[in-house]
Amino acid sequence: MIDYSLLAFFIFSSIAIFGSLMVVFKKNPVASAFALVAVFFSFAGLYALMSAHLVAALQILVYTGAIMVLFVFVIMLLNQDLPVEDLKSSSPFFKAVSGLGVLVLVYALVRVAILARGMEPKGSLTEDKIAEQGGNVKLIAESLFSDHVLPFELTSFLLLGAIVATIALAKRKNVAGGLKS
Amino acid sequence: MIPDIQPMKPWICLSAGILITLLVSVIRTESKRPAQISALLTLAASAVFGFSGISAESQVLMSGAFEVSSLTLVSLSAMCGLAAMFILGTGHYLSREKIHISDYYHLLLILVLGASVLVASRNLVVTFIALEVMSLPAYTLAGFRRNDSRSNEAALKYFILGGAMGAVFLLGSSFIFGATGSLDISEVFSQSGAGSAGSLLLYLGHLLVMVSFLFKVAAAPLHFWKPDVYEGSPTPVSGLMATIITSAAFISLLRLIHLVDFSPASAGAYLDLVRSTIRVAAMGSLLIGSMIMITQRNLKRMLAYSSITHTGYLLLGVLGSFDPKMEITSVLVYLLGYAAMSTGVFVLLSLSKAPSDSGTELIDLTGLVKRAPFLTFLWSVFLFSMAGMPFTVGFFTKYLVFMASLGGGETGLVIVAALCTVIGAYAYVRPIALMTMRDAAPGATDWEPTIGSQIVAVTAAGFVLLLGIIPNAMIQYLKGIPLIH
Repeated sequence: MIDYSLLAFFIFSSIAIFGSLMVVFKKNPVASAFALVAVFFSFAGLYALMSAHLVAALQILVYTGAIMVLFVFVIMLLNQDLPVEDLKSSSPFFKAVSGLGVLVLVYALVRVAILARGMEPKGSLTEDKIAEQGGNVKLIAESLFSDHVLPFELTSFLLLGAIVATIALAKRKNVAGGLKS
Repeated sequence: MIPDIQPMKPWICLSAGILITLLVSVIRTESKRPAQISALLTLAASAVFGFSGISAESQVLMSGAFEVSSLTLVSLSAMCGLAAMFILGTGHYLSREKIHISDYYHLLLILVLGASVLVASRNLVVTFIALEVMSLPAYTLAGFRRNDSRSNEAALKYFILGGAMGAVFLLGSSFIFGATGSLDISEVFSQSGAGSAGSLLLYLGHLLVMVSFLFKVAAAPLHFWKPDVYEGSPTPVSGLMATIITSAAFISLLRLIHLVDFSPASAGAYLDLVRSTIRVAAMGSLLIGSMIMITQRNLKRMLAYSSITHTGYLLLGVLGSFDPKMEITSVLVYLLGYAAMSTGVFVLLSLSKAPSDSGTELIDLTGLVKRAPFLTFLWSVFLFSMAGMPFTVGFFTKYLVFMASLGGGETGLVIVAALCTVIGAYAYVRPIALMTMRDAAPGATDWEPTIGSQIVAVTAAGFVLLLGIIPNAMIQYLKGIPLIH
């Protein structure tokens, strides 16, 4: 009897790792962007394996749908005739520092994984209880509009602030010696 | 099920005011006046609601995420008052710098909303979002002088570092959630004493959360952004950072530090780590702030290093808050006093007609007593208060944090702080000497006292002197305010 979820975990994780490496090493930014799409999809698969189906769906909708389109737009607008930055030509010092940084992060990640191994998930909701009460989507929707209505409403003010801030900084005004185009 | 939101009136009033201000400025696009008036009315209304709501008992609303108590209501009213003072006192500066636009007032109101919710938050998610609601307008306002490259630099630097520190906060709170299964501050507190296998994770998360707030208040070694950001930002915005953002971040920092129950023996080693972290941060802020402050020629950079020093003094009060447990009077008194003198100083600084690309230097103050005697008097009041002279509020605030810190057994640190006060006094007295004992240097800029700014500065000076001569009323009032109910 093969454990299919374990098999799926390895498939999705290897796609994610391979895709992440491609994001970094591909010289063509569009190729990097598409590798990132693969990473996002495999992440959605990993979330689904953890029974977080709503997060998996949102991952595809928000990241692969909305955010990737933004990425591609930015690449389209910025990448006109710029010389391609070649990682091989960067200084050995930079390479050593970033390599060391990656090693430290990997070590920290492994340590945290070992540390967290014996720990049980806390909180009142288990997988069975979630299924009993109508599934992820219903539970999240209910708690979003009852227990967590304050952060939810506060987020709308954050977005409002972001919109006003963007317009205030980006709009062009006829000020003396100012930005005018 | 409709939650009872009646006690949240001041915050709801503020939120509604933001939307009204936005609508008003859309209807009358050609003038900034309606937005200004709407912002002032909003701040006044929520301050009135805040003051009238103060009562002895406190309430916890929104499933434990939001606290309406004397601490949060007093903070909200004080923040509204400070923002209104800056609006009244610095309109001329905004006009001169050509940034007098409606957007300024929306962002200012959103900043106040974020700061006042941050103070009231009892939940790590709400704390994070409130922190962002407060910071995002601050990043933008720092870059409002769009034609000045230093303003752009300030905004970008503040944004990138602030964003990175927001990520540190999130990492820390996810560790805390992993260890305790809760984001509610009182629940984390009650579970943290158990000494379970997750303690290490909890302590790591707690440390990260604390570090992200130490960045917000610019404690050494996370202070390096402050001089550049203060220098590049428009002067009223630097003032808002020194008053509203510092106060909100400090009150929230106190809450988060006392998030962990330090009383069981297993937490003793961690308590030592927290104390020594704060001790190092306090000592570093005091030494770096006061040493570099005396070398500065630019007034705004000098005030930035001065605020780093004040962060050091405030951290002394935080150290005192461990023992006796959660006694925070000294920090609250210090925040109130510091807010009053910073408001005065930054409003006065905004009167300088120095071209914004060079900034106001110490030399621009020379001979001010002959040119504007009243301004010289106001400057002297605030600078003496910052130095900690008797008969100003600065003396009692310093006295209280020293006493609190001595009560916590930090004798060595208090000696360092006293030495730094002496070093700092040189930096504060030098501008006064330049104003009164020297003739105006050639090329010293003019100062342009306007009615509004003078009223605001006189109010702040009155506050500084009144509380310096009779501080007991304020201290008694703030003594009754507990940190966590």
